[in-house]
Amino acid sequence: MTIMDDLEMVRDLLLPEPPSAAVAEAARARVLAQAPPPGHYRLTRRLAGRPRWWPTLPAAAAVAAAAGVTAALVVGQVPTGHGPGGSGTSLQAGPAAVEVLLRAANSALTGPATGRYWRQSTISGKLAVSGPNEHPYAVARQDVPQTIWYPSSPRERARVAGPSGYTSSLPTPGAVAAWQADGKPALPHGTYSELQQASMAPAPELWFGFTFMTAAQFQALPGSTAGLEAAIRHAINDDPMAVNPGTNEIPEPSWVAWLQQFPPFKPGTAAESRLIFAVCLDLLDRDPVTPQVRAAAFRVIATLPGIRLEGRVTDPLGRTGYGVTMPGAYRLEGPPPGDSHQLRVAINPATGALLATESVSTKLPDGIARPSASGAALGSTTCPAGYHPVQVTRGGHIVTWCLPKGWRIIQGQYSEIAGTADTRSSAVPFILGTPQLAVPVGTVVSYDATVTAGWTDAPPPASALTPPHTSVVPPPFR
Amino acid sequence: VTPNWTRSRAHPPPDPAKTLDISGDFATVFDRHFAEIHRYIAGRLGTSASADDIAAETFLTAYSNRGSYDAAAGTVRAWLYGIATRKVSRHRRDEVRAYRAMQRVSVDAAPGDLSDQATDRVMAKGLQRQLAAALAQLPQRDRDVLLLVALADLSHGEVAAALDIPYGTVGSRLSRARKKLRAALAAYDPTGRPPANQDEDDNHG
Repeated sequence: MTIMDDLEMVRDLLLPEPPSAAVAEAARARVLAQAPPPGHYRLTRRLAGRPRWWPTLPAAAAVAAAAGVTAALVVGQVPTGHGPGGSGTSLQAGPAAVEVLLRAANSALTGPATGRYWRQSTISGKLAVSGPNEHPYAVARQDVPQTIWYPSSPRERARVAGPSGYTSSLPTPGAVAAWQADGKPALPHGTYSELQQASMAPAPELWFGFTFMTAAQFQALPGSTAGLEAAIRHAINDDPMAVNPGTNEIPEPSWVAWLQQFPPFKPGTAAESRLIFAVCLDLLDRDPVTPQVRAAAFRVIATLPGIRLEGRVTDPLGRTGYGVTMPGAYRLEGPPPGDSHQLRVAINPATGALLATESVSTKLPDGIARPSASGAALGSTTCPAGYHPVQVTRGGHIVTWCLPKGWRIIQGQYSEIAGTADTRSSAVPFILGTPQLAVPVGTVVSYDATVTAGWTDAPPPASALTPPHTSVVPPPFR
Repeated sequence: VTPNWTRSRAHPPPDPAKTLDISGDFATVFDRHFAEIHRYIAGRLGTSASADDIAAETFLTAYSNRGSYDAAAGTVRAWLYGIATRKVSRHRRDEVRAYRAMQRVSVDAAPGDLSDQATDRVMAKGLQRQLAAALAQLPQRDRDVLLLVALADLSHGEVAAALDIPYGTVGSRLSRARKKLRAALAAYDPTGRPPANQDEDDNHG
């Protein structure tokens, strides 16, 4: 009879088999119908506060929808973002970046100045880590884009249409090999409904700096460089913590927490430049503004210190343009600035389009020495002083244990560590190493690519007009 | 970056630094942890449709409370186990019923079979019945700590984070629970007497 300690006996007695694929898939559909992937989440965050009519298909339908989609297995290179002739290292300061931005400003002046709807659509994607610790791999996720019709009339409803979901692919041959070694599990993917649609009435006010504006106010923004810059400065210096005098509304704690990442800054500082840059990016690929304001936004960016041109780039949708960067730049709703990635903006000066904003890796994660062919590697864990790391296999995963100096594992069992009676629960901190992205410096790790952003008189497709009260009301969160 | 009509004072964006892992890619969180969370819940409540439900609800709660996840306080894994444990604790009767059912598992050795394997089997079953009885009699708070260590392999620090209790309390509850289990196992009498069955109330606080 195998000798087990009491904890192992408990485990042996109680722990059942892992759930079947059917159970996991049903739960996945149910959970992700409520907790959708990035992009979709951001799109519906505001709607989530109005759950009376927010449409969600029943879990069963979502399972069926997911089952009908086959994961597209795409093999290719991790995109580095550099097009032919591009070079990630030849940063060109000042004049070259200004020239690209001013040419883009001129091109941006074309197109309708207004319309019945502002139509906007973005494809977001990112590299995620998947697989077991032994052979982790990167998976490239891409959202299925939804289109938003934002009305110029405040009495009309804003509408959202399109399937919601995402696709996954394996970005490198190494990732394919690791995925095969993992037993070729189904890559996470799926659309959660054939058509997610919603309308908001009245159309919500939009965020500009730290203030809220209607579509009409956005359209009334000044088209001059100085005028727009003054409006942005005013908007970012508005006290976001102030109590709303009209409603006596006090800022919510999580709102305050989000705002606190923008510490007070003085005019002319780099912190202010980065925030002005972020507001301009929103004006260029998202907000319902006139072509004059888009042109002015390019010109405001051209005035900011720290702007650099990074040669020709190919955006995630294969379109070519020029890469513009600024140290420490970020999107207001993107990943927070950090030393492991750098925001790069792809601009087509010939059309005046902001093609995409990309987060480009600038270094490997801590504890990972070199890029991995599969795009991911097991990060090391750090032991406290006086302990040394020992790799053991527990439950099919490599686990790092930190053993006190001079101690060792005798037979791979925690109950057989020399020198203690009950080491597992007291003296031995054991740490699970987790796989992390390990992609070459210069790899695009996440992106938001603009599909469309412009005025149109064409109404949303009829399917997007379905009265909301016919939708299924989702079960409440517990 | 999807449009800012998703932002409002009523529903501000969560702090990206704190919630990136959760809201940014909840599908990954689900894929990475669902199987183990499900096993933990099914281990405590028995494999059943209600275990499936509670596992799914754990992730729904995690998603809706993602703002409360604090990366500084512990791992996502420990945080999920904390949510799962609180959900299981609302099904205490089911849990204790599952342990009682294990006590009644019959020993399937043919009478007179004195081979080593048969003896081992009988011994193992007997010990398991003893263990199930002891588990049923543990106070809920001690059982939570014990099973987070035994089933989930959480460290003391992770258990403290998961249950939001002091680090030292984890150690004292764990050693108290293990002492009772060991006592129950040591008291096992292989001659076939039924396991000690004390009071029916499972919780002494």
